[in-house]
Amino acid sequence: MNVTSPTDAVHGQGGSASSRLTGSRRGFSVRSLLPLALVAPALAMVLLLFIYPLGYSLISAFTLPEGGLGLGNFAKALELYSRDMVFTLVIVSVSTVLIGLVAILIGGYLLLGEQRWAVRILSVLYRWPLFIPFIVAAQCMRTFLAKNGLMNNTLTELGLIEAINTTSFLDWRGIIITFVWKQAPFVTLLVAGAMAALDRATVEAARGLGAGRLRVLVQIVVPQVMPTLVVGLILSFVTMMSVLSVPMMISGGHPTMMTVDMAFRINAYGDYGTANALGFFSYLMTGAVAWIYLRRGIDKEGAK
Amino acid sequence: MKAFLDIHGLCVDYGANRVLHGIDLTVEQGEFIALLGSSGCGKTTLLRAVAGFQPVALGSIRVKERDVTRLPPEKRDMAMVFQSYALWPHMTVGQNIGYGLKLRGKSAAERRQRITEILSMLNLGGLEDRPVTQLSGGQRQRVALGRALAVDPSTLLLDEPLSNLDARIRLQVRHEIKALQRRLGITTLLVTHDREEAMVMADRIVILDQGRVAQMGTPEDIYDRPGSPFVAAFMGAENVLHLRTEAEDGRPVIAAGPFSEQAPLPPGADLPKGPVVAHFRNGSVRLHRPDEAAPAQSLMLRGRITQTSYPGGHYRYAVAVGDREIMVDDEARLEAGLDVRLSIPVQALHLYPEKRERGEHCNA
Repeated sequence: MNVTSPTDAVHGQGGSASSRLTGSRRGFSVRSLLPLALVAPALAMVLLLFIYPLGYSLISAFTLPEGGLGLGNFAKALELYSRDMVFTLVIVSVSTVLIGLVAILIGGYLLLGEQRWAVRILSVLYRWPLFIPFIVAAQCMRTFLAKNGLMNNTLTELGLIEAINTTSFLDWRGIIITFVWKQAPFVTLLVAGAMAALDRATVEAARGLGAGRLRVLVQIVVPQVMPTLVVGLILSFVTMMSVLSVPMMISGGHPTMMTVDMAFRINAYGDYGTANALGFFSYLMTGAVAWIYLRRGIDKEGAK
Repeated sequence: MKAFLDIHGLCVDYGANRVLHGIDLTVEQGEFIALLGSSGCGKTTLLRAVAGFQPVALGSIRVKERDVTRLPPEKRDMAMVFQSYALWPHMTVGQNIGYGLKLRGKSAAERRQRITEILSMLNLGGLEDRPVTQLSGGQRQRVALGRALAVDPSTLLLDEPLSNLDARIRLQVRHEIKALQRRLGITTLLVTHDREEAMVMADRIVILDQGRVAQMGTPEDIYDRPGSPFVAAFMGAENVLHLRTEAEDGRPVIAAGPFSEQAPLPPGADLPKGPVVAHFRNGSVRLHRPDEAAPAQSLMLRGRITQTSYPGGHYRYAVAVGDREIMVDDEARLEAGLDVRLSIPVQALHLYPEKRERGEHCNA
C-alpha cells in the first residue's frame, strides 16, 4: 500500500503493458517495424497515463474557477499553503541529507567493517524496511514515537527521562524519522552495491599510505560512489515528495505536507485547480533537484 | 646487526584452511626480495599479511625490531603498489601522489615540491593536473609507484605491478622500478609469477610452494642450484628423466638404462644409491647424429626427433626418449623423424633422490 501520487504509479506500469502489433507483413518488412512494435506499448502508456494527465493537470492549474486562464489558483495555493510548502521542502531536504548519511555509514561499515559477524548481521538487517509499505511504516512509528509510545516508555523505564517530561515525536520529527527509516535502506542498497563493485585496492592503497577507515570512507569511497548516491537520493526525494500516508498519519495537523493539502482540497472541496497548482509547485521542487543532477552529469562529461 | 624486516613463523588461515605454514624470512635494509611462485602458492597472501591487509594466525612480523603483526595497515609505514594500479579516479595525478603527504600534514608548498620531484623522477613531468583516467597503463603504474614513493615508506610492497602492462612497456617499467629502488635504497618486496622478472629485479628470490618456502637465495643460487625438483622445474629445468645411481669400483655413477649410457655423477653430488630424478634445461642439451663422437662428462641418450619449431635464434626440438619427451634447443637444423643422440653435460643435471618409490628407499 504505497501511497504515492498518480504520476509516480505510471512509471511502474509503463513498461509492463504488452500488446503485439500485427499486420506488419503488409508493405514493410517485419524487421523495420519490430522496434516500433516493441516501443509502442510503453509509449502509449506514457502518453495516456502520464503526458495527457500531466498536461490536463497543468491546464487545470491555470484555469480559474470562474473560467478563463489565470494565476488565481497559484495565488490561492501560496496564500493558504506557502507555510506547508516550506515545511515540505525542509522536511524532505533534511530527510534526504540524513538518508544519505545513514546510507554512507551503513554502506561504509559493510565495506570496511572488520568484525565479520557484525557485517553479516547488518547486511541482512538493514534491508528489512525495504519490504514495509509507507503506511505500515507510519503505523509502526505512531506506536513507537507517541507520548506514551515504546520509545518514551523505554527511556522512562531506563530512568533516562521522567514520565512527566515525555513529549510526543508525532510532528515534523516523526515524519523525518519515518522517512529516513523507510528510505535509507533503499539508498543503502544502491550505495552498498556500488561500494562492493569498487576496486578494493583503491581502499587498501589509501590505508597503506596512512588513512584510517573513516577517512578512507569520506575521501576515497564516497567520491567514487557519488553518482549512485545522488541517483538514490533524488529518487528518494521524489518518492518522499509524493507520500501521503506518512504525514497524514504521523502529523495530520498544521503545518503539514503538501500531499495532505492536495488531498484535502480535492476531497473536501473538489478544488482541483488549487490542488493542481500545489502539484505544480511540487513538480518545480523535484524538477529543480533533477536539474541539479543533470547539470552535474553534463559538467562531468565536459571535464572529460 | 638485526634484520630490517623479520618475518618469523608466519601462519595465515582462510577460514579453516591454512594457506601459509610458518614462513621465516629476514630482509636487510635496502634489499630487493622477490616472492616467486605459481598462482595459489601464497605469495600474495604473504605480501598482504606484511602490509596488514591479511590477519595473521600465528607468528610475527617485525620492522626495525618493532612488532607490527597486529597493527592496522595505516600504522605500518609501508606503501603498496597494486596490479590494478588502484589509482583514485576522482583525483588528478598530482592529488594521487600528494594524498599520502597530505595525511602526514605537509603544507601545500611542500606537497607541490615533492610532487614535482616525484613526477620528474618518473618521467611524468607536466602531467600533474591530468585526471588519472586519461593516462596509459604504463603511466598509471608509474603514478601508482610515485604515490607509494612520495611518502618515503620504510618498505615498498609490489603486488604483481607489471602483470597488466603489455610486454614492451613491462620491460621498460621493470627497468625503471629496479633503477629507482637502487637509487633510493628502499627495502622492497615484489610478488611475481614471472621467473625472469624475479631474476632480473631481485637481490634475493624466495620461492613459495603451497604456503611454504621452497627455497630462498640469490638468483644465481636458485637458478644454478635448485634445491628440489619443484624449484628446478619452476626455474625452467623442465625436462625430467628417471635414472638410477649405482656403485662402480666403489664410486657412484649414473647407471646405463634402456635409452641412456652410463655417466659419472656431477661433481659434488651426494646421492644415495637407487632411483633418482634428473631435471635439466632445454638449452643444456646438444643433439648429435648417431655416428658422432660423444663429448666427455656427459649423459648420453638415444632418441628420435618428433617435432621441430623455430622460436628465434635456435631451433626447438621435441625428442622422444623411450616413452618420455625431451625438449631441446639447438642451433643445428635437423629433420623430424631423425634418430639422434643427446648429450647433457653432467654439471647441467639437477639430480634428486626419487621420492615416489618408497620401498626402494628403504632397501637402500
